[in-house]
Amino acid sequence: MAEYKGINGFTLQDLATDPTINTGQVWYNSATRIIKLHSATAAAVWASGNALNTARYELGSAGTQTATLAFGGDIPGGHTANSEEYNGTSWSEGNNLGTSRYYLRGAGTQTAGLGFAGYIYPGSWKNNTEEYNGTSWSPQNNMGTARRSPGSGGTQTAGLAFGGNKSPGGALSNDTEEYGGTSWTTGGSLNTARVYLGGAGTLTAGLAFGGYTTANVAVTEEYDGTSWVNSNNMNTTRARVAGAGIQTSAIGFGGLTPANPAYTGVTEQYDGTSWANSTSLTTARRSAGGAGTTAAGIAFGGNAPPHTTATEEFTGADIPLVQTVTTS
Amino acid sequence: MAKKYQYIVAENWGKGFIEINDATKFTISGFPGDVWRVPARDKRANLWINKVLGVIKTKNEAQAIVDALVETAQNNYDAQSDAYKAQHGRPTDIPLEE
Repeated sequence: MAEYKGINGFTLQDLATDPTINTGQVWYNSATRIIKLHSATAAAVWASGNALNTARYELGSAGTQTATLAFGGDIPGGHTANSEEYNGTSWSEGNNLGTSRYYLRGAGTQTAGLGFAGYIYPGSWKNNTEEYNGTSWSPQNNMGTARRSPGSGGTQTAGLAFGGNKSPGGALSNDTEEYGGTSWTTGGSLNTARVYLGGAGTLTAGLAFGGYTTANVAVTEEYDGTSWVNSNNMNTTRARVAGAGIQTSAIGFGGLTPANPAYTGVTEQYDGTSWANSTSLTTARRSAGGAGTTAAGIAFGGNAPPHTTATEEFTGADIPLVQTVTTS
Repeated sequence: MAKKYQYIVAENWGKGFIEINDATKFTISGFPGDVWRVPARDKRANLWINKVLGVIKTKNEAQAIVDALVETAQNNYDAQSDAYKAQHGRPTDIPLEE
């Protein structure tokens, strides 16, 4: 059998701590007595994270994979004001929203979050806006149009809401509103009015994808801060899709498709021009929360059915990682 | 015909249940009721099943677990008012592959 030294010209390094990432490097960690190597993900992967404390779907979400915010949503038998924070390992309870509701959306970060829109059954569309400062939620000026399940993007001081449905009777909306940190102003209209769509990006570089008109759609639109233009469709037609990332590097995952089974875990990645299939969520679900980037994203909650607490962490392709060498 | 998949039941304990090192080696799919599907006759998948203390189920047994949860969700939906139904979709069946 060939020896490591014979192949590489030097012996395996004996290190007390793991070294800085250097793809291809192999070493023996003397503290844990494990042989390790630096490699990179060949393809994107979803790995399990610790569960939400409260199972929910059609919730608000914001933040990153290691500093995530989940709030509101549909729970068995009603809606919740519950708010939770994820630190990359586990979810912990935060202070509740001021207005309990489902079908709301979010933007921003865990310490500067924005929650807006929503619905309370029966027939109460919401225009409530609340800001989160990392500790508590405070009410802000209302949206111009009360709506449920719009797309969202941006930050607490530069937020974006688009589409959804509205009173009376759940009429489809193509309305866009921009939040400047104090109040909402009207933006350019979506080309396709729809609800249950995915969103990503910023106020001046937003992305809308999927959704429902009178049927599920795969439509993609890009926003430049003034107007929406159509881009290439998603590969999988779907509504109730979650999203993360920016306009030139986004992921859309989960949702409901016209196929059977309707629940999908399909993940697609957008490069600013077109969508390509990526690795699917482990658990197919609709109406999940989503946050983060295409390198480090996160999905949480949703309906599989039933309401789920499941969290999954997305690691993009070509991301360095430490692996352990095992024998079997 | 050889089976393409095998099904197990295992409690998802969260972080570490499915690690990046697992997900890069084979495809794991989750379903209601802590039902998981992995490739059949796959050594790496079998190692993961051992790790998560998975209990092997036939496809029909796994389907019954999934169906029971979906049926409960459907019954809950059917008991709601028409106004509620107009704003919510009815949970759909989830057929498992052999």
